[in-house]
This record gives sequence, structure tokens and C-alpha cells, in this order.
Amino acid sequence: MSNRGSIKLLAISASMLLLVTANSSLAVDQPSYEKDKESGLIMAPGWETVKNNCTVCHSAKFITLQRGDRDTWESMIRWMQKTQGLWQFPDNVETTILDYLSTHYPPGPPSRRANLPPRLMPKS
Amino acid sequence: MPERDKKKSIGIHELYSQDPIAADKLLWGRETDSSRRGFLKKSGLLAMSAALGGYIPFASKMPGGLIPAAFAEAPEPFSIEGKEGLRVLNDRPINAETPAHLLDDDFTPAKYFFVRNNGLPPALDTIGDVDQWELEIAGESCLKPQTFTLAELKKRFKHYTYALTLECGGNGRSEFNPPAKGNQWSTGAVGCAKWTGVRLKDVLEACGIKDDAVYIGYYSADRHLSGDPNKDAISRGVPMHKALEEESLIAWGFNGEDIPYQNGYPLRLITAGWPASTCGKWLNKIVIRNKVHDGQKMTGQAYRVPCEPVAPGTKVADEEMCIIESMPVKSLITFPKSGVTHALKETFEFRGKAWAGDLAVKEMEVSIDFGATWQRAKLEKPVNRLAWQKWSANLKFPEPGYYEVWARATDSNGKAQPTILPGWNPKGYLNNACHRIAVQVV
Repeated sequence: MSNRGSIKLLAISASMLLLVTANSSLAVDQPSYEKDKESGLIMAPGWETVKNNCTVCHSAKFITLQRGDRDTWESMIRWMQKTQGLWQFPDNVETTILDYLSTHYPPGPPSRRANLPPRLMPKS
Repeated sequence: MPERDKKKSIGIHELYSQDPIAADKLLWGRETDSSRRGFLKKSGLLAMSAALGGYIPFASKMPGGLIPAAFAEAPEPFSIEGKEGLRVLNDRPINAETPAHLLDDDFTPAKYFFVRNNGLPPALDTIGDVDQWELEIAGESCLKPQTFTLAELKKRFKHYTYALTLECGGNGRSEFNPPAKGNQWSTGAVGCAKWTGVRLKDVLEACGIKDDAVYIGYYSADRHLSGDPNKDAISRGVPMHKALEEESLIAWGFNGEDIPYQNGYPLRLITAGWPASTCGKWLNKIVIRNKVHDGQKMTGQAYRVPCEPVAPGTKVADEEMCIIESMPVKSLITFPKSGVTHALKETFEFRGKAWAGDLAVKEMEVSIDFGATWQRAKLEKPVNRLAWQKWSANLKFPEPGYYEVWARATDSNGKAQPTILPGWNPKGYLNNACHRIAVQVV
């Protein structure tokens, strides 16, 4: 392997390490947010904007049971704007909503079959 | 609607008519913002109307469009009139699935039959006298368009009763990754009941089918979520060959009673074995088409999968998506409930249901070692075509510990359920991966 190649590899591993660190600190932070009793939404920054704009026509369960990356969430908003009578958001509102949804309701780890969920497991 | 249900929902309306604000708090646990009380009343009543299907004076005066946000959040606790033990996935519109262990009956009782709504069911007072409920048969490929009342349908055509399995095309969606948008069904958007009605074929033939007919489409009395009266919540259909099958019914009966309100009372189309979205609820019109029906949720990406398999996460153009026809082979373990503790020395007796869209199930197998070995279960024949089949098995566990019991059905064409997820598709349809329950052996 050439020198340049190993430097590049090192740089990639370093950035992956950073990513992992960032993710794990996020994972530690998240449980500290409480859930809104009324809607079940995670009360992290932006949650009120989401509640006010998204639960007008549909249940908050549409959010809390759903997962998606930023593109997926954005495509849902576009679909609702196109077919369901959702209004246009000012840019900052849309950014807040997409930041919140993609951060707190992201896809799970890729898997062709996850473990059974806690509600179906033996009580231990 | 059975008498007991009527009574219950009137009780709630009485509560509301006496003091809507207090009723709102009592039933939905929600406090009133006095500055916007009028809006709260209306949205509360709308939610009530959607949830209970009761008649509500304000519902008909509701403006199309939207209600201010602060009052429209999901109310807890939530219950659906006439239903018990279901897992609510969404309350606006109402969507609820049945936990596997509540599907253990030979025929699913009304209270356990899953609910999948695309829009808002018609208010009960607009349904009125069911004998006078009208069904119109029309369309460009219908020779003699006619309208029948339900009483006329019952009088003029021969009645048939079949046990028929209905399953939502999106059943199992929650397991797909990347996640697909829509109701996050796990395993419970399925049920099998004895449906009574007249054959769709008899009614269509009485109205004359032109030679160029290729498809039928239905229209229903449910309303679009946006409140726009010019939009249909859903209007789907099937090709003529499916419409003309003996088991395709225009049904009013469900296990010998009226169809449950949330499941389409008083009249529903049944084309079992295909996504249950083809079985229009609150049915009031059928059109015979000279082309593939193009109603709401027939086009675009709805109830379609990629015509050719795609890698997970692929964006697929509308024209490369094909309409779902028969549902795939599938099965459930309905007894015992996942998570049970079992004594090592005892025989483990378990059972379930299996079905295969338009086909029959020819073999049923179970595994306790994550699919390394399989043993054959006892499989019964369906009571009629398109009814689910009962199966049962028993075994002993070799040692204490955590087990998963897996079940796998094979259809009459030799296709079996996969043990991992089947092909990813953008809308998350057709997940028929084998069902699993957890068992702790002690």
C-alpha cells in the first residue's frame, strides 16, 4: 500500500471514529428529554413547532411510530403539501421541523430482521 | 350497527351535549384554552366523530380545511367504539392492528377485526335507514347502469356466505429499513370473518358488462382527511377476472351480524386475497371500466411495488411501479402469546393461521432453532377458497433458555415465507417474513 493510501485510510478511520463518538454522545443525550404527555413527542428543541404544525390534521403517532432520514421526512412534507392541504412553511420553520424529525426519529440500524420488540419479550 | 353499540355512542353524545368542555376533559384528558373555546369544541367533536362514528351536530357544519393546531393533538387515552385490545397506530384517521394472540378464533370477531382507514368514515346519521342505502352500478363499460337499495340487492340476488381473509397490503411495514412512510403495521392488519352478501358477478351481469370491460372501481361514503368534499379518500378496484370470481361479494353480513361500523357498515366490497384496500368500505358505487381504474390510490406509488426488484433505499419512478395483485403466503402463531414462560418438562402446544392470497397453503413448518431445522405442523384445509387455514404443532424443548418459535407456510405453488425480510420496496408493502414468538423455557 502506498504512503498516500495509508494516510487517506487513517484520515477515514479518524473521521469514522469522530462519527461514532458524535453518535454515541447523541444516544446518551436523547433519553434526557421527556416526552410530551399529550402527544408523545420527544420534548427536544423544535418539538413545539412540530406539534403546532404537524398535529393539525393527523395524529402525533404518525411521527412517533415513524422513522426516516431527512430526505424521507422532507418527502412526506412535500406529499402532504401536494395532496393533503398542508401549507408552505417559512424556511426557518421547515429547517426546525426537519432537524427535529431527522435527529429524534431517525432510521434504526440497517437489518434484515431486528430482535423482537420489548413488548413481545419474556419478562425478566 | 348492533343495538349495544348505538346505545354506547349515544351515551357519549349525551355527555357531550350536556357539557362539551367537561366531556372533552373526561374522555380525552384535555384541558380547554378558554380563549379559543369554540375551536376546541369543534375539533374535539370532530375527533370524537371520527373515533366513535357517532352523529355529532357540529360535524356537518365543520368547515373544509384545517383546525388551529393547539387543539388537534392526539388525545389519550384513546378507544375505538366496538373494538377491544387493538394496538392503535394512528387516531386520525383511525388505524389499529390486532395483536397475534387475539387472532386465535376460527373467525375473527368484530371487536378484534383490524381497522385501516384512509379517510373519515361517514357519520352514522348520514347512513340512516340501511334498507334504503343505495349502491349505484355505472361506468363506461356498463350496459345498463342502475341503482339498487340494499333491500333490493338482498331481494333480487342469491345470498352467499364465505369465510374470507382480508389483509392490508402494508401489513408488516414497520420492519422495512430504510423505513417506509405510512402506518407502521407490525403483524396485525389481517383477519378472517364469515362475510355474507351477493356475488359481485351476479350484480354486474344484471347491469350488463360490455366486451371492452377490463376493471372495476369502487366509490365509498368515507371523506377525504382534508375535508375537501371533491376528493375521494380512496377509490380502488380489481381486474374483471378477480371481480367475477365466485367469492367476490357485495357484503352486508359479518359473522352473522351487521358489518362493524369501522369495517364498512352497512355495505362493503370483498375481493379477498388481494390488498384489503381493494375491498371498498361504506360502498355506494361500482364502476365497470374500459381501462385500469384510475381512482384515488390506484395511481402513483400507492399499493404498488417496483415492477423489478430494487436495492433498499432506491427511488423508483411512478411508471416503474406495478399494482399489487394477490397477497403473498403468510402465517401467524396465535397461541400462545409471545413472551410466555414455559416449563421444560411440559409439551409445548401451539397453533395459528395461514393464508396465501389467491392460493391455498399446502404446508406448514415450525422451528425452535432460528431456522436451522424445521418440523412439519398439522395443517387443516380452508373451509372455503380464500379462507385462512388453521394449523397446530407440539414439541418439547431440549434445555432451559430463551427460544424463538418460528412458523413458515408454503403456498400451493411451492413458494414459502422468507425467514428474513423479503425485498425492500419504497412503500413497505408485502412483508411476509415468518412470524416469531419468544418463549422462555424454565
